[in-house]
Amino acid sequence: MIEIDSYLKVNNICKAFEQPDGSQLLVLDCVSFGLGPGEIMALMGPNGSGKTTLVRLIAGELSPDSGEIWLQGQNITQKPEYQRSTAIGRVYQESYKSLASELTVQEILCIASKRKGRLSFKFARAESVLESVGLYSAEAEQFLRSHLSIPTHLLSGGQNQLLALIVALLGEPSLVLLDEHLASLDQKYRSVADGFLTMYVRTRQCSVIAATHDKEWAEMTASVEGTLSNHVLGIRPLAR
Amino acid sequence: MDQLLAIIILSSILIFVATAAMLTFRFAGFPDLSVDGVFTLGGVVFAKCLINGFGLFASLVVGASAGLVVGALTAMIADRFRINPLLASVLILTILYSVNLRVLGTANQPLYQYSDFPHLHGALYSFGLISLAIIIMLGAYLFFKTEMGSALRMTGSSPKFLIAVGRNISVYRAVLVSAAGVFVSLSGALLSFHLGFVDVAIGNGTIIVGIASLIIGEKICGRERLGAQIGSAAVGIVLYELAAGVALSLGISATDVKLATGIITISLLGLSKRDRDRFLS
Repeated sequence: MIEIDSYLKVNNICKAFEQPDGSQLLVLDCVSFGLGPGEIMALMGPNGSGKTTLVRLIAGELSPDSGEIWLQGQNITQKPEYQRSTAIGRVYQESYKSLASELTVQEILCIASKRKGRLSFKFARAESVLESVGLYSAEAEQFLRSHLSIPTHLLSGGQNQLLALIVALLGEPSLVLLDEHLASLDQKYRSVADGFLTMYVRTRQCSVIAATHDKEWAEMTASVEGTLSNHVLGIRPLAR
Repeated sequence: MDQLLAIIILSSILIFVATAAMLTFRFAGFPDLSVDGVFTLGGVVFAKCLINGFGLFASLVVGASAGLVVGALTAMIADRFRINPLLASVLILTILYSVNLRVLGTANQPLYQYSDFPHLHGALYSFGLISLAIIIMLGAYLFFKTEMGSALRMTGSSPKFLIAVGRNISVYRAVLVSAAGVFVSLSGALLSFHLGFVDVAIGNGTIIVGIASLIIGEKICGRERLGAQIGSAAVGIVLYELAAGVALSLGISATDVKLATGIITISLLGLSKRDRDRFLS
């Protein structure tokens, strides 16, 4: 299933956790797959099947027991999480962790848009960030403009989640990892999030892995379905 | 009036300790307990430089820089050896007891005879100290409003966000703890200058001054906005010193002042929001 020129290559990743009684709990057993540019993988499977563990391994939050992870021809297996984040955008399962609750939307956008560069000693001004978001989705730009000066702890759960998705796509990441990124969104915000994500991926040709239970979303949006079952990953291309 | 001015001047010196507590406890999420030792270090390094003819300004700069080195070391020890920040800072505090004695070479040292700067206690001196405090606090406010500053102050409260946007929080934490070290040792150097002597026990209890001031200030100003957060350090230290002044004016002996200020601080912290609003109005 692994293509030689894959954008993202996960080779024989194994991960087990030590339990309180000293025994090993196997979560992932030699998981391998490849993902090309512009591909969206819906990572599915029942609770406890290892979806979030796989996302955390790729992000660098956990280290694999064995195996390798390659991104754009670079072996990133040993890279610390913050270094991987210059190329990987992420929405955590608890979306508030993807944001800084005490900062305003404007300050968060400015910091996140400098994913690959240095932060400046200027006051946060998000105009250029808003314009770049507007290229992909006018609704997403409108959402940001109407909440610009609000600290994110005052946003609702759904607004936080939409903002977390937009933030994950700022700074031109090569790979975006989403974990239950639609769980708190109502129909309106869901359509904004989906529109922004698909347009962004189509234009920038970045890869996306989205851990989800939403079969309908997977069939509508994803190009590949990865199903974790009995510690192994099964891959199925989806016709769209 | 003189007593009030004395409290304001002392607050202008100790405001840096409250600010340091804000940097470590609030911004970095790194409870640094080495404050007592770093405060003394600032004083003894300042004194040693003054004795060796460095001049007042250079001595203050070197005294403050000593805190930078210790702060960086504390953060590095906690990060590299994965030691709890509380333990790392207590270890540094213990080491500093010996270091401070070795640097000064004696338990205490008068400084009047070494300073060619007239030890002013007039209007210019007071104005200078208060201005220095205001300028540094204003500078801190402006810095923490920038992109870089905004990211730095999220180190303790939102580390996942910073990591997810490619920031190395170990470096951020070290920067904040080092900056706090500079503030604390600057405060120690200024107090030694103000008192005209240095003592190896000059820093005892400083950590409580910093934390109590910050918490008192936050109870009154809140910490929702950056201005309120930074302002709380100023309000807190003035109230803390006022409490100490009140205790002294009530005839409490100097040795019991820390006991009295501790009790007053606990009472202030124990006030409910409604009581506090009524008290302030």
